Amino acid sequence: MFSYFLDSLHRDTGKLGIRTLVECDPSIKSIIVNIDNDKNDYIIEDLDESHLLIKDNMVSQLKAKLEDRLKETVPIVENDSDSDRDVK
Amino acid sequence: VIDQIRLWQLDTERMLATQGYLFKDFDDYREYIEICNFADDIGVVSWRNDKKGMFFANKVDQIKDFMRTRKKANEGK
Repeated sequence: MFSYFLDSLHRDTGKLGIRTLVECDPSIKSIIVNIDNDKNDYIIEDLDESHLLIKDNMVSQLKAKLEDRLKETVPIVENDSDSDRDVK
Repeated sequence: VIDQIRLWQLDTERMLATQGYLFKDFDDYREYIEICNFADDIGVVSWRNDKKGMFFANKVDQIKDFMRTRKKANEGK
């Protein structure tokens, strides 16, 4: 185990870079899994329903892709006062 | 209301990213639980799964020292 740990630490700091734990809502996780399906570029390990292990150098790219997907799926409501009172 | 609050939170931070290392492939469950509990006690565990015998730590220096000491103690037996 110890030698494994040193090996993995060496690998992590060397070629692969440190890993990143991503914690998110299950619905967001399913979108990330979906994004990863294209090229398998991001996810190292699927940990549970709300946690993923992601390649450290891919996190910012993944965040950008996630934003794009959410923009496509969630319509932007304009001129919304966020109040129920203006519904007459 | 709780659902709405959750949605607002997701709006600002859809995914929480933490850098660190995943510890897995322990020799046995005792090794896992001792090291994971130590890491948890010093507050560096971001995620753990006792069933899978894996945990994610955001700092490793103290865990490394602990594992080194633990290995030496076991060799002495």
